[in-house]
Amino acid sequence: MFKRLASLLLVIGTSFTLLTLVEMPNLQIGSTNEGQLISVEPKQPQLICPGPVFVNGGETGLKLGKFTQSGLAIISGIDGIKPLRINEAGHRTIEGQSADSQDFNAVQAQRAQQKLAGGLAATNCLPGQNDAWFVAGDNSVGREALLILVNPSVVDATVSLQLIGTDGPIQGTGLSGISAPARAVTVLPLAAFAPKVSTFAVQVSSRGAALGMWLQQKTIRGLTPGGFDLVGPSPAAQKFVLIPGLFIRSSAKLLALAAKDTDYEDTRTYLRVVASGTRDATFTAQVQGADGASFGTVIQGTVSAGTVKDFELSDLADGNYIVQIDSNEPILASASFNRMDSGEPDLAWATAVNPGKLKAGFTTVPGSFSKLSIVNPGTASGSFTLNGVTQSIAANSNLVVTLSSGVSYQLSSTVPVAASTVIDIASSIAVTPVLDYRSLAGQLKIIIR
Amino acid sequence: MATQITAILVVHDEAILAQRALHAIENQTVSPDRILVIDSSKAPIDLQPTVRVSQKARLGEIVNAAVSNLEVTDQHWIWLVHDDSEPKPTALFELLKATENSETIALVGPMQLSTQDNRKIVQLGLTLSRFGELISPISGKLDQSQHDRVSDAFAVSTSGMLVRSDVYQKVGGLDTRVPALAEDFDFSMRVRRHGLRVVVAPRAKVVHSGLSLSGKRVGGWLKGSPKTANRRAVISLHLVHDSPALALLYWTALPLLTLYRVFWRLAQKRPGHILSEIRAGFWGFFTLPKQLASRANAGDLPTRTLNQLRASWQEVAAHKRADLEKEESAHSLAAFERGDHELAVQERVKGFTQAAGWIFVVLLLALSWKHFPFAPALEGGSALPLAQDWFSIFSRAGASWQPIGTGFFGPSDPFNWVILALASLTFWAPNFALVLLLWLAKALAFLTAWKALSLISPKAWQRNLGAAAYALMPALDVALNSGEFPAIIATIVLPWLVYSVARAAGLGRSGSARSDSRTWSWVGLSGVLLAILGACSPSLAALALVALALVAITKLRRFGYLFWIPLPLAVIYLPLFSYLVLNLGQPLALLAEPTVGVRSQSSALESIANISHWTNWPLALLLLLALAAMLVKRWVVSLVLFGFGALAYATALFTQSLTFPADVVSANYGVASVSSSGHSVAAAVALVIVSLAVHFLSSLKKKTILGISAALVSLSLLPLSFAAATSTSRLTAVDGSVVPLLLQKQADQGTDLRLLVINQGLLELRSEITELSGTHLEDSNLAYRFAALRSSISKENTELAQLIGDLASGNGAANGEVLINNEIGYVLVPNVPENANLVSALESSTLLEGAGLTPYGDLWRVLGTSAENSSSSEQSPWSITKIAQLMALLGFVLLAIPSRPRVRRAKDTAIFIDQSESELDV
Repeated sequence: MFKRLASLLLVIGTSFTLLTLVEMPNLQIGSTNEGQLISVEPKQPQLICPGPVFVNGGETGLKLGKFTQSGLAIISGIDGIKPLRINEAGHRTIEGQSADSQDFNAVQAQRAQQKLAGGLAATNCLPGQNDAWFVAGDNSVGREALLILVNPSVVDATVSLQLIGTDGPIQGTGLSGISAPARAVTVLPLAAFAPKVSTFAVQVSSRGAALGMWLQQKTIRGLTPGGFDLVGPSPAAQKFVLIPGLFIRSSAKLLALAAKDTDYEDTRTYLRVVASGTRDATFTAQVQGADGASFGTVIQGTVSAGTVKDFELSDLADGNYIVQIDSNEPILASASFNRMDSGEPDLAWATAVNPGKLKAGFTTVPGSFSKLSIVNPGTASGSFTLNGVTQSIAANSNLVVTLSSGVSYQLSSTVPVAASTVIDIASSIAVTPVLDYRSLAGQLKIIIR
Repeated sequence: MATQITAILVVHDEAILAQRALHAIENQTVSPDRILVIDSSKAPIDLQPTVRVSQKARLGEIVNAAVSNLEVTDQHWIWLVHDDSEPKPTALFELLKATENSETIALVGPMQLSTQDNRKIVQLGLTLSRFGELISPISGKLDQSQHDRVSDAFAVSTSGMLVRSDVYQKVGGLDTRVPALAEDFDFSMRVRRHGLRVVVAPRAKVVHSGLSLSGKRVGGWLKGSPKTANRRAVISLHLVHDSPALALLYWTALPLLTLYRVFWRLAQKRPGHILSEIRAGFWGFFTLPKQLASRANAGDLPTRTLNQLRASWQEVAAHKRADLEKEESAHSLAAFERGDHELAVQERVKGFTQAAGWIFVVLLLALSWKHFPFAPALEGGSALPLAQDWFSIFSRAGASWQPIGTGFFGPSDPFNWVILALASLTFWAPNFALVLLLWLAKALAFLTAWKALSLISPKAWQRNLGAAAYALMPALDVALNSGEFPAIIATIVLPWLVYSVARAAGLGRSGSARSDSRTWSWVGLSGVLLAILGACSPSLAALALVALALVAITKLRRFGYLFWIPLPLAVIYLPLFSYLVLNLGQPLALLAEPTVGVRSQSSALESIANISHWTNWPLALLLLLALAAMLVKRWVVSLVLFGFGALAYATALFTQSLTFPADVVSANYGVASVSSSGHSVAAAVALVIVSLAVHFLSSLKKKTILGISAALVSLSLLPLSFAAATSTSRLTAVDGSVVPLLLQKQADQGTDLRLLVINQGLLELRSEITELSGTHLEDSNLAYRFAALRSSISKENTELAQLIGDLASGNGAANGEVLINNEIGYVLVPNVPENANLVSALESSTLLEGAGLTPYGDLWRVLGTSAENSSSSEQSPWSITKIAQLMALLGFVLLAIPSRPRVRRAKDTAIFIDQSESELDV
C-alpha cells in the first residue's frame, strides 16, 4: 500500500508542477513572410463635391423631371497648407497635392432658403468610389430622395442600384445599367424605383469609373420647405456600429409639433437599421449621452434578413448623444433627427462611422456653430490630439469638443475612435463624419503567396 | 551387356551423415559396381575412395567431375546420393527395376522420406505449376503404399536419382549456370525434352534430410536464403525452357512482375519473402546472357510437351496451403515456446454489438446533429474546401512541385496523403468525405476508443462509458467546430493505433496475435495508422514514436515486427524532413501542424478543456477516478499510463509555446503567425485519463461501489453531451467552389492562366497567385510557409510586388508586361469592406477589363491574355518521391488487410484458440 500511496503522491505532485509551475518560453520558428517594401507613386488626389441643392423643375419648379442646381455651395478645406475657399454653383472636382485626409480635405455647405428647398446641407467632399451604401431617404408625400452621382473621370460609368425596403429588396426595371456619363453629374430620383416608400436603403455599385455619390433628402410640407440634407455613404455592414453626432435640441417643441400635425411625425428621432445579409439581425442600440445629464436610452430590435426598418428613439431629452449598436449579424445603420428654432424644422442624417486610430483631417463650415462628437468604443482609455491639443478619452465614452468655424483641423488618436462634426447654422443642422482616407502610396508592404 | 552402376556420394561438410549414407549404399541388396565419394567439404571427410573437389564447387561441377572418367553406355547407370540421404536397402534395386519398364526411361527418382518420421513422404517427384512455381506434389503424406506404382514425373530430385550415363552426357549433365534449386528441374526437363522419360519409383525409398532446401547447409550452397533460391530457380527455368519469345517477354516484364510479387507477398502477409523476390528479380534481370547460354542443349522438344505433367490447379492450391500451414505452424510453435500464449485472456468478452456499443454510436451521431452532412463542402475556421475533382487532390499528394505563386519546388505536406485517402472514399465528390467525417467523428472516436479500452477492461459498460467520455472530450468538440481536420483525424486514429500496436506487440489483455500473418496485419495497420497520425499531428507522432520505442524495448522479442511500423511515416516525412532540416535548418518546423492553422493561441490546459465553462466541470470526476487508479493492485500499469499522459501534456505545453509563420491564406483572416491548437495532443492526454479511470473501475469488486461509480460517470457525461449538442460551429456550408464559376470552368478546360487575388490589410497588401481554380485545402504547404521569406525576395517577386502596388494605388504605372509574362489572366478582389479602395483603384486601371461582381468579389480580366493562348502545359502528377511514398503506403495497406483464408485457418488451429480473433480484431 505504501508504494501505491507514494505513486499517488508522485502523480499529484507531477500534475501540480506541470499545471502550475512549468512554463515554456515562446519560440518563433521560422520567419514570417513579411513581404517586400516597394515604393509606389500615388495617383492624383481628387475630392469631388456635389455642389448646391438639386431641385426638380428648374428655378421655377415648372419643368418637372429636370433637375437643376440652385444657389451656391460654399466649399471650405485645405490642400497641404493652402486653404480652400470656393463658392460653387455646380459640382466641383478638386485636385490636390496630398492624398491623406489630414492634409487634403474639404466640406461643402449650403443653407438653402428657397421655395423648393430649405435647410442646411453640409457634406464632405469625397474621393471617388465604386461601391456605396446609403442608409437614408424618404419618398413619402412631400419627401424627395435623389441619388447624386458625380463622374469626374474621362470614361463613362455604369451604375447598378440595389434598393432595400421594409419587406425586402425592391424590384424594378432600370435598377442596373444606369449610365453615369464622364465629367457629368447624374441625378436619379429614387421615387422612380421606390415611389411613396418612406423607409429604404440603397446600395450603389459603379463599374467603369469611381464616382462621388450622395443622397439628397428634401422635405416640403404643403408648399413650405421643411428640411434638406446631403447624406454621404455609410460604411459597410458590421456587427458593431457607431453613430456619433446625435445632438438633440428643441425636442419638446418638435414633439408638440408632431402631436399637432401628423405631417411632422417624421421630425421624431429614429434609427434606421439594414440587415443586408442573409440572416436576421438582432441588435441592441445604446444611445449614450456625452455628459452626466443625458442618459440616453437602450432599444433592442430585430431586422429580417434583406430588409430595412426604422426604430424610434423616443424620450430623448435635449443633449449630445452617440449611438452604439451591437448586432449578431452585420448591419448598416444611420440616425435621423430634426432641429428647429422659430421657423420650420431642418433634418439631418447622422451616418455611422467606422472606429479607427485616426490620423485624419476635417474643416468646419465658415459661419457655423460646429462641435466635434468623438467616441472611444474600446475597453482601453486613450487620447486624441486636435490641432496640437491633446485630450484624454476614457474607455467606452464619448466627448463633445466645440470647434471654431472655418478652420481646418487635424485629428489623431492613440486608440480607435469614431468622430463626426455637428454643424449648426441658425438652428439648421447637418452632421458630417470625420473621414480618414488616404491613397495607397509611398512605401507599401506587399506580401505574395 | 550387363548393367553397370556407379554410386556417387556427394559429401559437403556433413561427416556423420555422409558415413551413414555410405553405409546405406554399401548395404544395398543390389550392390553398385563402383562407389565414388566426391568431397567438397571445408575439412576433408575421412571416407574412401574419395575425390576432392573445390569447396565452392556446384553440384553440377561435382557430379561432372565424378562422371568425367566413367564409361558412357546405355547400360551404365549413375546413382547420385547426397550426404544427407540414407537409401533404404532395396532402394537401388527398385530404381533399377523401374528402368526395366521401358527403354526410354533414362532417369528414375526415389520416394524421399522424412528423417523424423520414416513413414512420411517428403517428396515423390517434382513438377511445376502453370506459372512455373516449383511444386512437390506429394509431400507430408503418410506412405501407406498408395503411391507404389512407377509413374512418369515432370522432374525428380537429384538426391537418390538414377540416370543413364550416356543420357547424362547427352543432355550436358547438371548445368552449373542455373541456380541450385533449379538444377534437378532443369536436368529432368532436358532429359524430357530429348525425348526420354523421367519416372519415379515409389518403392525405392530414401530418407532425406533436405538440408539444402531448408537452408541448413553450412557454406551457402543456395547462394542466399531458400526463398531467394526458390524464386531464382523459377525465373531461371522460365528463361531457359520457355519458348524464345516467351522467355524474352518474361525477362522484359521481370521488373514489373517482381514489383507485383512484392505487393502480392504483402497482401499474403509474408513480408519475409519481399527481399527474396527483389533479389531474385535483380538476379534474373542481370543474368540473362548466362541463362540464354543454358538454352543451348535444352533439347529439341518444346516445353509445352511437358504440360500434361505439370501440376493441376488443385495440386498447386494444396501445395501452397501446405506450405503456408507449415510456416504458420512453425510460427505458432515458436510463439508457444516464447510463452506468448500464456498472456492471452482466459475470459470471453462481449463483442461490440453484444455490448450495446451501437446505442452509444447512435447517440453520438444524434449529438453531432449540427454537423449532419447537408452541405456539399465546408469553409471557415481552419477549413477550406478541397478541389472538386479527385485527380487534383491526387496530384498534390507526395508532389515535389507546388502550384503556389509562380510555382514552388518543395515537398507537399504528408497530410495530403490523408486528404487523398479521405477524398478517395467519395471520389465523385471529394469534399463530401470531409463533411461526412465531421458528422461521424464522435462516433468513430468512440469506436476506436472502445477497442483501445478493451486492452484494459473486459467489461462492456466500462468500455462504453470510457469511450463515450473520450468521444465527448471538449478538445474534439472545439476541433470539430473549427474544422481542424488534422486534429479530428488524430483523435480518431490515436486509440486505434494504441490498440493495433498493442496487438502487434502482444500487450494488454488480448495478448498477441496467434498467427504470423495476423501479426503482420497488425504491423501493417500500425504502420498506416502511425503515418496518418504523423501526417495529422507531428507532435503526437513524436510522442507515439517514443511510446513505440518503449514498447519495443520491453518486448524485445517482438522487435523484428515493431521495427517496421514507423516505415510509412518515415517515407512520407522524409522529403519534408530533408527540406526543413537540411535545406532550411529548421528542425522544430517539423512540429508545425498542417493546413492553414489556428488563429488563436490557447494554453495547453485550455486546449484540452476550458474549465471556465460549467459543462467541462464533470471532467473533474474522471480526473479523480484516474488518480484513484494509482491505488489499485496493478498500480504500476497506472503509473506507466500516467507517465505517458504527463509526457503528452508536457508536449502540448512545448508545442503550444512554438509560433510558426502563417500562410497568406491565414493572413487574410488577420493572422501573421500560427501556433499548435493542441487539440491533437489533447487526445493523447484524454485517452490516458479515460484509460486510467477505466483501469480503476475495472479493479473495483464491490457491486455497490461499482454501481455508484457507473452512475456518477454516466451523469458526468450529460453536461459534456449538452455542450457537444449546443456548441457553435464556425463552419459555414459552401458549394465547394472557391472562385467564380467563370474561372472554374476555364480551369476545368485546362489553362496555365493564373489568378491574382489581392486583399488590403491595415498597412499592407496581401496577394495570392493561384491556378484559376483557386486555393484549396490541399494547397496549404508547410515547406512553402517556412520558405516564403526566401522566395519573397526574388527578382520575379519584386516585379510582381511593384505591379500589385501600382495596381492598388491606381496611379496608372502598373506594367502590363509583368501580368502577361506571369500568365496572370484574372484579378480578383474579395468582397470585404477593407477592399473598397482597392476596387476603385483597379476599376481605373487600363490593363484590366471588368468581368463583373461575383460572389467571391470583384473580378477583372487582364487585357491581352486568354485561356486559348495559355493552354495547359500538363504537369506530370508523378515523381520518384511520390511513387516511393505511394508504394510504401500501398504496401502497408495491403499488409494491413487481413487475408480471409488465414482467418479461417486461425479458427481451425485448435490448440492455440482461446477466443475468436474475429471478436477482437477490427
